[in-house]
Amino acid sequence: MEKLKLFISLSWRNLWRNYRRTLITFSSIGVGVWAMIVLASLMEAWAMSTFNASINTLTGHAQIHAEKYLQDPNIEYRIDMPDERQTDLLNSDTIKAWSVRVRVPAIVQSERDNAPLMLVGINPQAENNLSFIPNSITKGAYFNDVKSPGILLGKKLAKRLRTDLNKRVVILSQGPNGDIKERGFRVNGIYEVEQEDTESLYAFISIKNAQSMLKIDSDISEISFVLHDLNELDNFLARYKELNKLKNIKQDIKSWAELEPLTLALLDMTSGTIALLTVIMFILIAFGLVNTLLMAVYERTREFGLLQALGMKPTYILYMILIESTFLMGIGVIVGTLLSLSTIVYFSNGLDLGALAEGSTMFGAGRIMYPEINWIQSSIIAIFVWVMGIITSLYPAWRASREVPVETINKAY
Amino acid sequence: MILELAWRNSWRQPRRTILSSLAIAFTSAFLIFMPSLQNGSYISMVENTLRLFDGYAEIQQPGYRDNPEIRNSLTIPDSLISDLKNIQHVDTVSQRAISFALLASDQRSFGAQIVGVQSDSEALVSIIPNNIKQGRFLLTDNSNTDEIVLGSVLAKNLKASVGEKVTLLGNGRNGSLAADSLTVVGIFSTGISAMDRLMAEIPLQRFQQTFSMNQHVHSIVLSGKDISSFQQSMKPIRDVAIKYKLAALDWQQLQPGLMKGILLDISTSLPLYIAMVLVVTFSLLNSVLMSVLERTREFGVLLSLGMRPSNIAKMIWIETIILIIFGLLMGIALGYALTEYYAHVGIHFEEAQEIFSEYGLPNAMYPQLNWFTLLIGPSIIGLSILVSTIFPVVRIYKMQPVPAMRAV
Repeated sequence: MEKLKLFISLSWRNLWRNYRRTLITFSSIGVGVWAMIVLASLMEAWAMSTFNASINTLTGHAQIHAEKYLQDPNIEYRIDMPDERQTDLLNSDTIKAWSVRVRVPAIVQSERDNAPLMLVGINPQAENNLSFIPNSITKGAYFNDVKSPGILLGKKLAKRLRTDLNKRVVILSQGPNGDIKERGFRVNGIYEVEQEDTESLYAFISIKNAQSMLKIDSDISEISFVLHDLNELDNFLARYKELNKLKNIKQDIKSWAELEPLTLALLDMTSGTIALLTVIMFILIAFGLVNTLLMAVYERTREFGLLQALGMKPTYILYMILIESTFLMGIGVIVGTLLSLSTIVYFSNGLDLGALAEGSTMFGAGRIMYPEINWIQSSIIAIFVWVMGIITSLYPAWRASREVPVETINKAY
Repeated sequence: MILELAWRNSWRQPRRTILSSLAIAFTSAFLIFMPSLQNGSYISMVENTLRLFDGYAEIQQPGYRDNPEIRNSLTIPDSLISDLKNIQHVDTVSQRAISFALLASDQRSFGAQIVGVQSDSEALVSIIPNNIKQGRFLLTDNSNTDEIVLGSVLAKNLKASVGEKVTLLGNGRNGSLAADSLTVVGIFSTGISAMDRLMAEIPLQRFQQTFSMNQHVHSIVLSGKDISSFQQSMKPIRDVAIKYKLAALDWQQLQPGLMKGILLDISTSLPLYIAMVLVVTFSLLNSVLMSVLERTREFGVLLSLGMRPSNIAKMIWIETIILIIFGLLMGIALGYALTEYYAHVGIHFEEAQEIFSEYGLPNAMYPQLNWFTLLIGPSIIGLSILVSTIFPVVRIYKMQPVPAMRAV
């Protein structure tokens, strides 16, 4: 214990004998660690933005449909409103928000043009906290209740149809018997979202209107919900499936990962890329570190010889160099980590991609990134660089401990 | 003499020289490989996206891009097509007419994007003719042929198979009703959900007859061998378009998000590259600075023997340059070999196939090396190390011979 204290104070002082070198080494390690953690958090923010956009665009954390509906989203494949026990389960504390929808392909006609779209009948209140719809109306008004008249169109689609607020459009869609149902709607509101494709893909009407237009009574196409804690998802889905099995109800229950395999692939790829870049950055840092420590060892060969002649064991010299590198790496890593954390905090209110946003939305992410401190990931990067650095310095330390005392004391510069 | 001194000094500490140049080599190899990989993926992303349907450029009625309605069409003057074909790098000129209409089978009806195409040249500007999964593609442009090819999802939704009839209902160019009865001759599956779900192609003349278009079309699609050589011909293409009072759109106008996406990717990778250059510069600065400090006594002797500080500085510069040249040569060789190797075998991403096909990328990436990607990274590394060498050199000018000789 006494010896450890001695080593620590020796190493600490050695570090500051050549403060310029130490500072440059710190900077090199610090910049490397800083860049890694900040980049990792930006990449995560980007991936999360894609994830949230896809969850918000009606997907939710999971959806329930009739079997076959996902392969062929047709009016033929409907499910009943959730029964008493299903409703109880959906109202449990695990669920943050849930809603039922009617979703069928349709054609919209304005006075000037026509376009294909997905017609979605929604329960306006239940969509709060569940999807983008309630918060995206930029012109006109949202629906008040399940029977509200009117239709909500995306800005891009409205522009293409050259229609506007309070004008009429006609919706054509196939009814359950293969006949074409047709109904006129007044444009009640225009919504805007970051993904322009979404704007021309969906039009919303209230659910009762959709059901009466399509003559499907109280049938629905899908149930969508989000949980408070995403980790509970598998558990919840298992309970729902069990309930269905008990009552012999056949439904297609799918999590977001199954509904949006692209988003899942993107999230996986992001963590893979972060790991790869950390390793590459470390190799760069390691070159500098080994070089610095080797040089520090070489210019002190006389000193090591003297220490050994005075009775210090070679292993102690090894320990001393290792402790020096622990300090050297440690301070660099800590400074780099602190810098990166403050950078992330600085940007945490939103990093606007500005002119590049269009590119970002094309890949399904938003225009503003919200980087967050990921303690686990930051610590893994920091500790990885630190520990690998100490391991790398074994070589210079081993070389230092192998000097022969008499030869080195006499060594001329 | 200084050159020789510098050369010998470099090898007094072979381990340090080798480590330092390895650090340079590793970084520059990485900075050659990564930009080449990005370059390759951009080129293939652009190529693949454009080959889906858009072609490398399109000639349209001005305003059609923003307002793709059936009335915004153009008649083709006799000389326009030959004028376009005479432009270098323009290999294919294909005409299209496009409208939205309702398709109905016995059981179902769905909206679809109906495209009237020239059957022979469509294969050169779109992937649809080459991805027929059942039946065949259109054989003629003739108005007598009642043929249609459907996207696979559309066909499934309509429950229509090859040989069956579908009815088309839409609005003609003059506002009249456009109605037709067509036979499904082929079903295509491109893997792009928007195309498979929405698109159907019919012979151009049949389209013009059904939609009362006379001889009008909506778009003239141009294509060539590859996008980079084709891009050089955009100027003459625009000139021809202006001559006929038409609009010429290049790939960036056809796919505006694509260029922004590329810029976004470049600007997210830049901080990483800058950080790497900084890390390697710091570590080289350290190594040069130490090689100066540990030779303080030696420099003191040289100074007292009458060597000028500027000569010693020159020596340090040359030592650093030797280090840089050595490292960069290794790095460029390594980076070149690595990039060329992967340019041949490709980098395969088995797991990410879906994400790539969604954005029109193949499931393998091929880095593309050019002079820019080969030299930009290494030269920035070399330059920043040279700049940082100023600090150790400044120290030499501050040295006084006598205290320097006494330094430990």
